[in-house]
Amino acid sequence: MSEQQSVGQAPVIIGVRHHSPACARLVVERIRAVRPAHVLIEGPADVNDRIDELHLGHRLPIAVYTYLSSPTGHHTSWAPFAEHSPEWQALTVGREVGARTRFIDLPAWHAAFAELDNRYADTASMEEEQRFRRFEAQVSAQMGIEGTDALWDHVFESVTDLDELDARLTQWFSSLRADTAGSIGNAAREEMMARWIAWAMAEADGPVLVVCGGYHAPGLARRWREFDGQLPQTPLPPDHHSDQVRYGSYLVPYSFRRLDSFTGYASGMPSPAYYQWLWSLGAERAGLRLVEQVRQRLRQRNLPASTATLIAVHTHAHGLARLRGHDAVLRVDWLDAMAASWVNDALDVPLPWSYRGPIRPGTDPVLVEVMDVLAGTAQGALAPGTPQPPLVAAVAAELESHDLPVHGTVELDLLAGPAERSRSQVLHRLRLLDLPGVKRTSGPSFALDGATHSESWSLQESHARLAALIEAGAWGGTLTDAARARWVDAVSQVNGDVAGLAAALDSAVWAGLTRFTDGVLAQLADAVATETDLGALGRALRRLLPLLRSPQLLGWDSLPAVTVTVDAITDRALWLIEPPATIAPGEIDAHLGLLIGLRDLVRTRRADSDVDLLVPAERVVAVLRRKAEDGASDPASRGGALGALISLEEHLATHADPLELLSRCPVGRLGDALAGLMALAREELVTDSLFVAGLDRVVTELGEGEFVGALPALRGAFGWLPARERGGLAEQILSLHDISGASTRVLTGRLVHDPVTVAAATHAESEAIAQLSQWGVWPEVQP
Amino acid sequence: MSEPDQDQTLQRPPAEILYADELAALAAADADPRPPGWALSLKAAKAFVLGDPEMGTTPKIVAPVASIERMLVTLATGRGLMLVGEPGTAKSLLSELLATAVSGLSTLTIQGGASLTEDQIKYSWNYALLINEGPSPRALVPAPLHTGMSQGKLVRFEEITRSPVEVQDSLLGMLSDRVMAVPELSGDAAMVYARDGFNLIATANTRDRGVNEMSAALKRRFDFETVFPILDFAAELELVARNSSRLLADSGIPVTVPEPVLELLVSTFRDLRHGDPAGGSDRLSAVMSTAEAVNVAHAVGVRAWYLDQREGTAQDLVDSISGTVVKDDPDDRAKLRRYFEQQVAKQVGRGDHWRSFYEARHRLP
Repeated sequence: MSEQQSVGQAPVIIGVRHHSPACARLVVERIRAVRPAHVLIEGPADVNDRIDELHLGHRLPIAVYTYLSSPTGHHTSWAPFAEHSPEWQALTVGREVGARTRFIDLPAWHAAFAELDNRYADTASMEEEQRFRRFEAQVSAQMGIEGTDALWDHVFESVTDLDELDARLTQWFSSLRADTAGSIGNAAREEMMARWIAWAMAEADGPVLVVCGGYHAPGLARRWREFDGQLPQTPLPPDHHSDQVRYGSYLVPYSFRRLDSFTGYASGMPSPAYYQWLWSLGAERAGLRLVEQVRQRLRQRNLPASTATLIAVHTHAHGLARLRGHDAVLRVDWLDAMAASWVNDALDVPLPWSYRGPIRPGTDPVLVEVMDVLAGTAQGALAPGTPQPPLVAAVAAELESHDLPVHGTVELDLLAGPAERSRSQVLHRLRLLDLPGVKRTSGPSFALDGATHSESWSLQESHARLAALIEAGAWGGTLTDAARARWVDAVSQVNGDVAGLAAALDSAVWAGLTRFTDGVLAQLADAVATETDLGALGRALRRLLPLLRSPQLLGWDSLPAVTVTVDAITDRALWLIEPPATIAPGEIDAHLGLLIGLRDLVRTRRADSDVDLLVPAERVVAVLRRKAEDGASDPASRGGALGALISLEEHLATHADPLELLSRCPVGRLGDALAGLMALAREELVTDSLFVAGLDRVVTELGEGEFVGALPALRGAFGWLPARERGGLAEQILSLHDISGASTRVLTGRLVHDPVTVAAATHAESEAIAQLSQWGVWPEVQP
Repeated sequence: MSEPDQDQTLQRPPAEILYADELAALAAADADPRPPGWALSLKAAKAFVLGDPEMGTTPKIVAPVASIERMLVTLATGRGLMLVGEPGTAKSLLSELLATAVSGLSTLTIQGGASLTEDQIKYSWNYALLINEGPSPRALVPAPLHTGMSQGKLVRFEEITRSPVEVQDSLLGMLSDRVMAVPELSGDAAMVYARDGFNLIATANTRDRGVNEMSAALKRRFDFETVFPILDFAAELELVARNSSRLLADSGIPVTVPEPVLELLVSTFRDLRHGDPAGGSDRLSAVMSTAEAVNVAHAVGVRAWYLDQREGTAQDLVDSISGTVVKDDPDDRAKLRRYFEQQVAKQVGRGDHWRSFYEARHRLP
């Protein structure tokens, strides 16, 4: 925008990419040159009354946190500021030159933000994202540069001449936007911003300068004249008079780590620490700082970082910068140079900066550290005297309304009704926030644990608790929102640890957190997709099944997070158990545990067709059938799969037969195969006299030596039977051998000596006798 | 460069002959500084490999731009370049193109292998001359490394990890001191000092990891660049379609493999290639490269045409995959069966071609 435009007829509109240091420099320079009367910034207009709070002397990064909590839903959104954000520079420099600074965008509770939790994301809607991708692919092909960030750095961050930068930004964004009206959400936001511009122009007390996302800039330049210059009203949430609706915006401390972790179309500029250095030190020193920090980090982690490699990185980065036509060495040059010189082995996954989203598992450890250094550890802090986040008051109100003491002990009976349940939920939410002085001293170990139904808690008030609560305010304005955000963050760190995931889901159920976004649900499924431990999958499945089966007991119709996770676990488990593999003796129980989980899952689905799972029950049965019929599979696994089929009454559809399985399997594994059958279908098999007779025959026909070998596992197999069924089996065995009158205790009673030792001794004795008889020194006993 | 009519007799002309015109045009128009000993500047070399309509060059390989840039800078800074990756990811083609761009010559090639000896990479003797005259420069028969060093050219070392470790280690001195001693000769000929432009591009197959593990000292002299299978589905599909229809035309078959069947093929290959998200243990031991996908597509077309005079179908694809890919490894067979039973089963909603693919699973061995 030229300066003439700013005088009187048109505002100076600077379209920026959020968190871009180049744009921040342009904003500073333009504000100093134009000395506007009004600086209008894309940001939540509901904060305008309290905009001075931003200037209290906080340590950046901080964010304006906006929340809306109503019976129909919860929405939270952040507008983060770092020192290198153009919006932040507009605020501070605007104030410095004496301009009136205003936020001009809709508040984050407006429907336009329904799917967006980062106001300063690169794109605000699916439609905009797609448009952006198309545009990027086009420019990429033309310029021979791949990747959003590489492209951005090349075209903008390397430019030192600000007029040139301005021209490029204008051209970039007007080609991106073309003449499209944008999504409904974007149109609503732009109308609000355009009204503000019209108002500021109508004031006619000096130049007007606007700082907004580049995508909006062409739209605003077109539209502001359509409006009349009235001061725009900031919309309030629907039903804002209702007691049940809570909303507001306030400042919270933020961190570079969170700024870097937005994904999908909520993401923006990555690597905040690097861009902070670029802003404050310039490209050359930012690069040196980067290499220095990476060197330090690698040495701390005992990863190789020799001087020779540093020299190579340096040379390589400068070479790349020259080849790519950069005046200074940029982020992607440094990163590529590090990849070339620092990694000396084949990579399993692509370089982390060549794609968007979280770092993929299997990334080279050096590169993981490099990306972490670039993200930075900076943690913001609010200046003393900043109004307290509402969480402090909200928690006090929650405690009071649920009749919970600030200090003291609480005893709860979980079956005493919904009121007690919701008191428990409040306490569990506090626990999710990790507040000091909130302790659960006793209670059931998982949410549908039938063993006990009373819980006791101890609450202690302290300064530490208040401080932690103020800090936790960054997670949300109400207890539920904060607990949910905290939980989601914790779960996003769980990677491939399905036990941790099941525990997390359980704690969410305890805290009454049941509604999550699709993104979070997808994350849960992803976390399961890398688990390789069958036992862990089985334990998690069995732990979650009760929640899937009877969420009504806890007061819900369904628990989508549990459903998604069970689905992912099933899919993963079926995939893992299919190939034949030998199972180590120590893992047999865990393996059978998983088969039990799968069998119960099929039963659950047959009993309740409302359970909304994607993996069809037939697929589970088909895998079990193939497993049971596959001669190469481990006997324990075959036995288990066949047991599951019998228990599900699917055995008629398979040609596998339990007795055939037992008689065909190697003697040493007989007990394991039987364990599989017993673990999955004990009731059906023990009451089947044909099976019992066949089993008796298999065991009787064993040679003495074979019997000794098979005994430990056989005993283990009968361990799956409860005492009563063991008694029933004993009776059948006695009658098979025509031993009437003897008590079943003969077979089921506790033995004084270890039977394996006894059998081994008997076997040794008979062998000795055989040897002695062979040499004729054993007295032949006459019959 | 040779005359065109001679080229026609070559089964596979090297890149410097195949693209002689492009190279000449690039060199003539190249105004950017060239690293010492290079035939082209880095920008022109990049344009040669990746193709640049403005400079009149065609794309010759599908690879990320940044990776080609890294490779060129590595070569320009005088470090050795090591291309690693799965079989069939076009590492050798890449090294041929880079050598052509940098030195105008791609034929100084050492083929690694168990029987490789030091004299095959450095020099050997013409024994008749050696016996007659004693050791003399005339009697010396230079091997690629000798030629590369004395003429300042890029030397290619294919499948370096298949060569004995002692042969690998004999490179150490030449890579760091840039000199090769010829102790049999005296005077100037006793030391071959590398001219500007000499460097080494090695390729190694990740499947050979551990066969002849490279020493840390040698690794340190190379910059590693992993060559990934084509990341973009559409690009891979396009490549398979293009190359398989060329092969089919060469085989005298008038039809190509229909797009839905190619889509099945490429999806299957991509899924099986990545194996289990948690780790590599689940991958097939068979090579699931793009090159292999092209072969399978060709097989599908040949099968359908010569057996039945029709286009290839999903059934043909199942037969060809099990025949050409899985061969006789029972483990791979089990994995392929599982893939069909569990993963393809999930895709049947995506269209008729997926459904018939799934229903043809009984044709698996």
